Amino acid sequence: MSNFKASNKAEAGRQLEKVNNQLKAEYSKNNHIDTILLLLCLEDAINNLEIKFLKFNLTNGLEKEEHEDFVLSMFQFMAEWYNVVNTILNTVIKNDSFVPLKIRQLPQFMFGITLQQNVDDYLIGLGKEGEIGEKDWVIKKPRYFLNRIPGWFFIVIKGGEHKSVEKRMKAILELRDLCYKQGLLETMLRGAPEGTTVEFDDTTGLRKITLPDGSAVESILEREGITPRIIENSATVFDWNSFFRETAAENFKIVDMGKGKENLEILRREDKEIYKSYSSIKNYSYTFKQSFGIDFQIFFEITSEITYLCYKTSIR
Amino acid sequence: MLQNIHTIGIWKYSELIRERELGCFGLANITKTIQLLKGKFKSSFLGFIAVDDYIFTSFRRLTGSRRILLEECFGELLNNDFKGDAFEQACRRVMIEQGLHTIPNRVEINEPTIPLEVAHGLWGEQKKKTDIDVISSKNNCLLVIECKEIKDKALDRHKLKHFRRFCLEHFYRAMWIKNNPSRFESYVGKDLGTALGVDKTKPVFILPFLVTNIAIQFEELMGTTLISFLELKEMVSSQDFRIENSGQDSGILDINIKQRQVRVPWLLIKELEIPKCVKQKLTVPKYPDHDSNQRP
Repeated sequence: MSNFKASNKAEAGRQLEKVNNQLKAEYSKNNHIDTILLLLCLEDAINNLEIKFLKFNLTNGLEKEEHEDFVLSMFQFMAEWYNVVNTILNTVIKNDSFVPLKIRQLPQFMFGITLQQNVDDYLIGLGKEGEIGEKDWVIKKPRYFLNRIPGWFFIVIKGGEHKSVEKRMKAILELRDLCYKQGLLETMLRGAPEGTTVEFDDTTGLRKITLPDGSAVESILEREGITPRIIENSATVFDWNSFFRETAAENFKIVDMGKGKENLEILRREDKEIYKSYSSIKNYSYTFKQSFGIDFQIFFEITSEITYLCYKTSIR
Repeated sequence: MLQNIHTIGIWKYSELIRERELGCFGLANITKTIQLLKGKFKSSFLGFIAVDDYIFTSFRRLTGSRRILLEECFGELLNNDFKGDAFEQACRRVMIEQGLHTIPNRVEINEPTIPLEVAHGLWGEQKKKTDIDVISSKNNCLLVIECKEIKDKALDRHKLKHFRRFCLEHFYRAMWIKNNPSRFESYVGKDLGTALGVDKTKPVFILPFLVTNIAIQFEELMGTTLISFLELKEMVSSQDFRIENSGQDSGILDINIKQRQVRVPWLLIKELEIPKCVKQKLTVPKYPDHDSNQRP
């Protein structure tokens, strides 16, 4: 591997400048309304995968070590994708002018991972199960989960025959690779111990970090306060002050096909629990109004209604 | 019309604010909501994305950005020490839901519970009164809980030091209960048998816990009985809290909460006063041995 390698901080600094310039140029080329839509679809597909992981995590019977690897690697994978989509989105929208909307039908994205080494066999298997159709476009990339467990991730774009979608998606993936390089170099400059080497393969998108003294990526994550325990026990007000978790667990039963009309009813119940959890706290509604200038209940109901509108099968 | 398979939304701004479902909220409120989640507060995660005439959003964007805003407001309450007792009540609710005998409110103790020299070492003064947030029991173990809400899992050195002190202070509070059971009962206002379903004829143990709303993990806090709310929930639904009484008056109970093992110190309450009615039951003539054949 390696079309790109940095093994000391000075080299990383030089490379970072190059990558930043490349990113700047690429962002300005991605001034398409279509790009924004595709990024949101991609983010939604990642969210569907996250829901599957959460469901698996509730029911899996993995041993301690395997369980911790699973939680940590999935957290890292999800967080990276969410961050990269958010970064690209936040930067793309800063362009001055935009190429108007061209896509007439939004593609359906499916996101997946596998630890099976022969990814093609795995994808053929998914084809036989009807998960992937003949016309679907599949993008597959290798990955070292937790920087040591070899596997693959893949994105399936259902339906195919979307030339404009394909073109925009390729541009998004190029941006993603550049963002990863940027992230690697920034980590090397700021957080990584002396003696760290980072590598990135331009052809496959595979990246590797070699830490000195054989230390594991888990130790770097732990220093940042990210451990399996912290991930699994992160909680907001509605996790402790309502029956949200119990309601959401019902939702897990029916979200195998992704979010949709079927789980809209449970989503409404989840919303009720979330609202109750905050509004029942003494002084909450008052503080909300003081801080944000709008009645808490009205704000909550407006955001809920717009969320339900996102579940409609067509958009204007 | 675009076919929407994902849960995303795209509107012309003028069309979104006129959506039939939003009609009852008034234009000013709809506009304010959009403005707030469009980046008017400090999060870089935008709920609404505005480009040209368009407004974009999605299920994840809306629920995520709303959650950030709602937690921001909760943080404001914490900053202003304005939040009331919601978290404490939530902890109590969990205990009751899981069938543990639980005192329905916090117990105020109007006397110092920590030895003078320890109190000075911890806080520079001795508190004249204190309270215990949640007290529950299961299998003759009293779970004595101090609830702590925090805004962020990233605690600075100062806050960490404080947390260690809280843990130590709470342990001494448990020690005080162990050494002053009848005074403790007087503050509870009821006999422990009545208030917590404790069988005073058998050994009664105390298990101290500190519970936080979000999980924190620091080397400085290793070895303490600090657990998160979700861990408390998991623990009370899966643990029996059975302690083998081998004649010692303190020891360690290893509790597994999912993949985590917490070493909880237990304290045996000695000389717990047994109410008269129970005493009478106990003074029923004893049989020479356990062989039923010899019974009258």
